[in-house]
Parts: sequence; C-alpha cells; structure tokens
Amino acid sequence: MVKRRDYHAYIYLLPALFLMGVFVLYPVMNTILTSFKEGYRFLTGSFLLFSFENYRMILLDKIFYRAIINTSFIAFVCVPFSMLSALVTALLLNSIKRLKGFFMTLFYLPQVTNVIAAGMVFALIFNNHFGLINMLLVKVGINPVAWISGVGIAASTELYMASYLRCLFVLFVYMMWNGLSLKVILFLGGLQNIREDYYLAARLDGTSKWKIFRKITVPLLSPTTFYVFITSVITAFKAYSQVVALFTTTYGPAGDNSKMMITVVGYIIDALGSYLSAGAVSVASAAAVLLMISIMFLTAVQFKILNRWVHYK
Amino acid sequence: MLAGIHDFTAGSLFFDGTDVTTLAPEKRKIGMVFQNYALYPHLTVKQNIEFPLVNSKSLSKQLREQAKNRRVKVRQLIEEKVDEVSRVVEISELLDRTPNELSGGQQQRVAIARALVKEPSILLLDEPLSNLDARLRVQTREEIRKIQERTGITTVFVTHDQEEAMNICSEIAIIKEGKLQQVGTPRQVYDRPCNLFVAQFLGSFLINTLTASIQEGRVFLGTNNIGSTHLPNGKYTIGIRPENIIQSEQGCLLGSLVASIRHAGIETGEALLDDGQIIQFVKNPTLDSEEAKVILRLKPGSVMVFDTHGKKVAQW
Repeated sequence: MVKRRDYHAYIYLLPALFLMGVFVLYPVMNTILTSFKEGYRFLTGSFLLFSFENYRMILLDKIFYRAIINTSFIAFVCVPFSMLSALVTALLLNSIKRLKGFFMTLFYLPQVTNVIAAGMVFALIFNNHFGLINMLLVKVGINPVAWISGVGIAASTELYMASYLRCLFVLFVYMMWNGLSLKVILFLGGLQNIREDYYLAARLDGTSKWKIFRKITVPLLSPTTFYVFITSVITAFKAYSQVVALFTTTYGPAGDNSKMMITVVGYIIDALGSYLSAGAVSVASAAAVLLMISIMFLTAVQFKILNRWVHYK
Repeated sequence: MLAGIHDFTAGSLFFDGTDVTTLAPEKRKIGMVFQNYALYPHLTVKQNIEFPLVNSKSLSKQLREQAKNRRVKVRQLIEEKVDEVSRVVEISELLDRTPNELSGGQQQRVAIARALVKEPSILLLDEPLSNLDARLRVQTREEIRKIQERTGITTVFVTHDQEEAMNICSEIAIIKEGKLQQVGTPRQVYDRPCNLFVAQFLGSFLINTLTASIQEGRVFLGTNNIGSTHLPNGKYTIGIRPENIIQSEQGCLLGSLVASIRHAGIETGEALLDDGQIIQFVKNPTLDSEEAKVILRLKPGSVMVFDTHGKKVAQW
C-alpha cells in the first residue's frame, strides 16, 4: 500500500530521479555495454561483435600495469600517511586555545586551490635548477637533486628506477599537502564530538595520556576514521589531475616516453584521446569498468574487515 | 577544586590532615560521578567499572602488590572488586550491557560503581540526580544514601535542589556567590539559619519577611506585640516560616484574611496586618474558613530577627 504521504515524496523525487537516470544510470549501463563491443566506432555506433577483446587488450598492455601500480601507490601509501599526519595535526589543533581558526583556515586552503595551479607550483618548487627545494639543499651543503628529470632513462633501467622513485617522492609530497586539508577538518570535527567528560573521568582515574588516546579517543573517533579512509581510497583511485599537474600530459619527466606516472584514470583519458578511431572508446569503457569493479570490491572489503573496529554510539 | 581540576586562588585543602592543595588529581584518590554520568559508550558496564583499575598506573601497582600478597592473579582480584561493587549498587545482572542499553537510573548506578571501585578517600557527586525524573530521583537518592552508609566514604554532593540536600545529607553547606554562609545539619540550617539569605533560601514556603519595630524591649508587628527582647529600639527585619504560624483561637497576631492558596494537601492563607504587611500562614482546617478575621499563634523558636546586614541577631 502506498500511503498518501509516500505519493508526494515520489513525485518530488521524480526530477532528481530523472536526472540521475539520464546522467548516471544510463551512462553507466551504456559504458558497461560498450566495453564488450569490439572495434566500436564512436561516431557511427557500429561495432564488430560482442567480445572480451577490449579487456584482453588492456590486460596485455604494460602501460595499464604501470597505471595500476601508480594508482595503488597513491591509494595505499599516500592515503595512510596523510591520514596519520592529519590525525596528529587534528589532535594538536584540538588542544590549542588560540589561533585555532587561523590554523584551520590555513589547513583548509589546499581544498579551495585549483589542482592544476597547485601542481604546477609544486613542480616549480621541485624544479632542478631554480626550485625552492634545491636552493635550500645547496644552502645546507647537499648536492641538488634532479627531482623530475628524464636524463638517460631510456638507456638504463637503473637510471629509470631512480628517476621513477624521485618522481614518486614529489608525488607523495604533493598528495600529502593536498590530502591533509580535508582530513584534518574531518578529524577535527570528529574529535570535537567527543565529550570532555570522558577525558575528565579518565584523568581522575589516573589514566596516562597515551592510554586515554588508545582507549577513548581512537574508539570514539572510529566512525570518522572509517569514513575518511573509505572516501580517501575512493578519491585516490580516481587520481588524475594531480599527476597531470605535476608531470604534464605525458605523465613523466622530459625525456620519458613510457608514461611513467600514469594512473588508471589517465589511461582511460588517453584511450579516449583518439576517440574517433575504431575501438578507442570501447577500450576506455573497459578500463572504466575495471576501475569501477576494483573500487566496489575494495570498498566492500574495507567495510567487511574494518566494521568490527568501528564503534557507533 | 576538590578534584584538582581548577586551581586555588587562596587557601589550602586537607584530606584527613594531609595537605593536597598542590597534589595532582590522579593522586588524590577521588571517585567522581558526573552529572551526565560520562560512561564510556563503547565499553560494556563491566569494562566501564573496571576501567580505573585496569588503566591507572598507581592502582595497577597496588593491585599487583595485593595480588602477590594473596597469591592470586591480578585479573581475579579485579573481578572480585568489580563484583563486590556491582553488588553494592545492585547492577550485577547488567554487567554485559553497554551504557546505551541502560535506563537513566541504571547508568547512574554504574557511574557510582565506577567511582567506588577504586576505594577512593572521597566521593564527589556532581548533581547526579538532575537528569532523572522525579520518582526515580527520590528512589536513587535513597540508594545513594544507603550506599554511603554502607561504605562510610566521605561524600560531597552538589545540588541545586534543596529537598535533595535536606534529605540526603548529614551536613549541609550553604554557599552564596562563592561565599560560605552556614554549615550545619539540615535541621540546624533550616530551623536556626544564621542570616536572612539562608532563611529565605531554604523552605518550600518562602519565609515571611516582615518589618517590625522594637520599643522598650517589646517587639511589635504593626500593633501586635509578639514578644520581648533585649535588643535596642529600632526597626528590624523579622522572619517567620509560614508553617510555624498557626491559625488558632488564641494568639498574638490579628489580621484579616485576604487570600487562600491550596498546595497539594495543605492550605495556606494570607492575612493583612494592621500596618499593611501581608503574612502567610498555615490554615487550620478545623476553624471556620469563612471568617474574615484570623488570629495567629507563633510557635516557640520560630521568630528570627535580622539586622540591616541580614545577620540574625535574635531568635525566640
């Protein structure tokens, strides 16, 4: 039985449902369908047959694996580190009395800056010749490091790995700077929701600061931590503009033609670059479907495993 | 300040003769029950109660020594203490629940158990009954009193509800704006207040505050002589509690009835005296209630005289 109240709700929801259907549901279904169409031509919509050819092409592509490795680096190295730093920062911020608003604004700034612009500035900071970092290193007496440089990497794998690691480091620093902002605000909100009473009661019982953190702060903060972790991993899987901002659309330093720092989304975008040729869009669709499945799978795993550590009140 | 959260601006604090003014809160052996209970929501009742024992450095050391002396494991010692204190507050069947599965009164008892389990030298209760409904408040109040009698721990109870204070305490301290006014048993503070503030503060019926004049050792309320005293002549404020003024056939006060108010079970009346003041008294149901004129008798010991600063100078 649909009660009278429900009728109204459904009618009010119709416009939103319509938009969702047109701009979300239909594209997703269409993408999944397209990913199975071999030799798909975007302009005409014609294709050869339904097959796994697109998936086969992706899974044989070395660059795709490079994309997976880079994306995993962002999701499973940068995210935990930035979560930890954000937690420490939020704890410190929560305990200071003055200038709280000032610091909060400061930490939130990366959220409101343009990703490309920020990335370009970071690339400049790490510039080999006149970058800030190298200038500071020289002042301290250390040799300047060629952060983003592709000299000689085509020839030797050693040099390639070295250049790759340096680029990863730059990416890491940038992701930390970027990731800290939102997480700090979220953790701060979560911390401020923990009532003072609990800390007072524990203090009167003579509990050490570390024990208070471990047994009271962490459990009561766990819903926030869980949320931050899930959303950060999902965001990390979608990383694209950060990499392009730092390493330009070739996904690597000058002199590199292996798309060193490409991510999965970058792979999809590149496949779409030649969208007029046969099979391009379908390959991109296949990659997108793979990305979607990985995110869903990973999120489900996170929920299952981490759920028993989250205490909701 | 007792718990050591706020600093002193002046003075010192002694527990059993030991100066604890500068002692850290955790070293003062204080058990505290908060107004909002502050039970850890992510732990069971049992884990809440044993929290002090498990997580305090100094208590852990004591426990280890005790365990060694009695040749038992520390865990067993903790279980014993938790069981004993749960029995005292009567929540032994609820040990496996979490705080959000308990009613207000039950949460309160868990909070008390947690404060008692570390055998503190002093128990602090910060308006513990404010969050309970009226019936539960009276019930829990009795339970707290029984617990205190059973354990004998010095207990400081903070409340703004005077009925609570009068019923539960062996000694009351009345404080106005941070300054101590009077300390005494509930009876003392109620029957023999030392100043006007204390007299007006206590009592479910507001004490009658009237102006009287003393001439040649005789006290006059209007034209009524209500007693004799050695105080010098002049105008004074006197206070008499309504329940001590009886409508009777013989008395020292004469007034005309202007109002009757019914409070659940007791009817009070307001009489107009011949100098224009209104005095509230308890009506006598056996006397004719239609009479316009009432004669009032004062119980002995009920008249209090206060000087211009509000300090009591005489009482008879």
